[in-house]
Amino acid sequence: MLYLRSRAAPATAIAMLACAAALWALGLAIDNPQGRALTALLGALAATTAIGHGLAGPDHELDKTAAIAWPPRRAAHIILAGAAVLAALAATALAGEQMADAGQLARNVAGLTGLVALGAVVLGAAQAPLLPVLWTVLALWWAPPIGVPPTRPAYKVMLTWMVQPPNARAATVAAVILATAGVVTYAALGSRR
Amino acid sequence: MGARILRIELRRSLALGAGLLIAAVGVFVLFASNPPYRSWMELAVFQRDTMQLTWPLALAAGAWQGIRERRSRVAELLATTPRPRRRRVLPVAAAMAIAVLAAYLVMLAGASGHLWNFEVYLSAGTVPIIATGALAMIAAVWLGQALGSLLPSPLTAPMLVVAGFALLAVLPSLLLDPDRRPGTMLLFPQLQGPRGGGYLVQTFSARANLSQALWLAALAATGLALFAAARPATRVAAVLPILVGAAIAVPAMPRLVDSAWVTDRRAAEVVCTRDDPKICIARSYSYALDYLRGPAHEALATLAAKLPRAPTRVLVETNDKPYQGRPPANTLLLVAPDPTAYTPDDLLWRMLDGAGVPACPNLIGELDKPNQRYIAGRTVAAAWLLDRDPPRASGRREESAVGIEQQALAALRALPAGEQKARVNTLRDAEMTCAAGDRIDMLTASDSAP
Repeated sequence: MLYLRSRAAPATAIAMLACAAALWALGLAIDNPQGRALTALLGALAATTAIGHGLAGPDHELDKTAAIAWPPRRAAHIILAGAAVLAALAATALAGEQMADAGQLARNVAGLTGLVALGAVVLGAAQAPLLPVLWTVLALWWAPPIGVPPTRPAYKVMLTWMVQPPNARAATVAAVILATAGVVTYAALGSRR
Repeated sequence: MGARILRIELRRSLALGAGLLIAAVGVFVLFASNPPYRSWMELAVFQRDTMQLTWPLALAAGAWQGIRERRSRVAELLATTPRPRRRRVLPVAAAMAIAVLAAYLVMLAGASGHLWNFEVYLSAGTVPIIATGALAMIAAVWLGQALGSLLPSPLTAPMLVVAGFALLAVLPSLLLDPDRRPGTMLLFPQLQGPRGGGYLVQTFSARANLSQALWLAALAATGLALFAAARPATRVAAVLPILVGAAIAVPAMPRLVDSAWVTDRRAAEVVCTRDDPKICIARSYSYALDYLRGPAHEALATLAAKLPRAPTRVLVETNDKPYQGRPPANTLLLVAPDPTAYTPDDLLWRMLDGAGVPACPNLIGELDKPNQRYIAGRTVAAAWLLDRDPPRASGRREESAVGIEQQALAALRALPAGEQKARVNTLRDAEMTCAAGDRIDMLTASDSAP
């Protein structure tokens, strides 16, 4: 319980639920399929950025003195947080019509969670959202209805992984790499001070 | 005192980093998402369009700065000092405004490397577009600072980027018909160009610019006042500018955004270059000058070397509508709605087609049933002038036409040199007046009188 409180879990949970609710409300207003997928991506982005803040405790020195094996705990934290985001967003599909393909949503949440974790390692917990937000917002420039995402070469597909259709394999690979890298480095190193 | 604090804030606050980030993102998008810009207006409008991205970033930068005291846990300490809050926050608000303003201009300067060249048309209407954009950036950062100080949570800044992007970029394009954007879209900082991309000959009306600038100024004023306000009563009063601004600006806005794009008369004026070769082209197409120089020089030089009374300047007709009348004898007319769509070699062939005279509407035939011998005769004249073989068959050039051309060119070259020149000159004179007569016979028939 103390761990959860020190990691701002209540605020994060509230933010996630708010994102899910906003997504559900937008789902009522938007009826074209591309727009729904796009909104789902933005909802996933907002909900995952909410994780970032909780990736570090209020006092780094104090954490270091604790006789706890940190890596498994940190790995569990980031994986559970990602799962919570996915669950919250998937719940909106149950409450209303489905916004996006489930595989696409899972891919995006996994990749973005990995990016937030990487951001926490590289930039620090407070600045962690900068990484996923910048990447997604730049990639969205090539997503419909503004543009059309590239279908090849593979590196361009990987760079715009979050706006690719659900069956783009290179995009899935990119998301899985990011997710694994994020979880592993965050578990091993923890948030930057 | 104030200047010293401002300098410290510029160095030590988020201002520098945020400015660099926004400028870098903006330059990247402006380079990556469009072909080279053909006029400053096109660049300025695309920069405004990119505000869908840079505006939320500026908003978030402001919010991140706005929660600084709370993050450093000195908010309560600072609240106990006798120095009023507005005096304390003005330097940092100024520093952030300077940073985003500079970022906007750096973005413009950086993206100017993606213009066709620096000869592109710079219209007077470009300046207000840029100025309004800069004002919008300041409004964003001050509004962000206000929101950050009102909602001092570490989640505020990232949520503002996502929400801002959704509001500016995603929702309008999903909910509005792109052909009928209402004028109230000008309440948003971004600006899209006219449909159909008439950037080259259009400009944004002063009234639309002014109403948008007024609204953004009101937004900036409210943001700054909210940020500087220390008491709830002042915060309520700070909302006043935005209400007044909306009350004045909204009725002044055009009914549709597209109706605010008006013709730029100066853009259509034909201007001539002073240096050699002399090229005349509509002012808005000056981006193509650089591209046209080589072929134009070669065409004029070739004509001067081979024919008497050669033209001395090239007039490029960029209108889609057919040209009126025949060009004067000293002018080589090139009809090309988009000159840069041709390769330089194609341009040269087009200029010398018919010995440098445009095709006659009464002789060329219908689009689906062209007068093949007429067209072939014109091509032969160009091939003779260039001393090259006619281009190979491709697209609309059929094998049979190329066969006629090759035969005619061989027959023409078999004549004595003086006779060849006289024959081509005859063809040119006939083209000038659109006189009837078979053009191939003019060049090759043994009995045709020169």
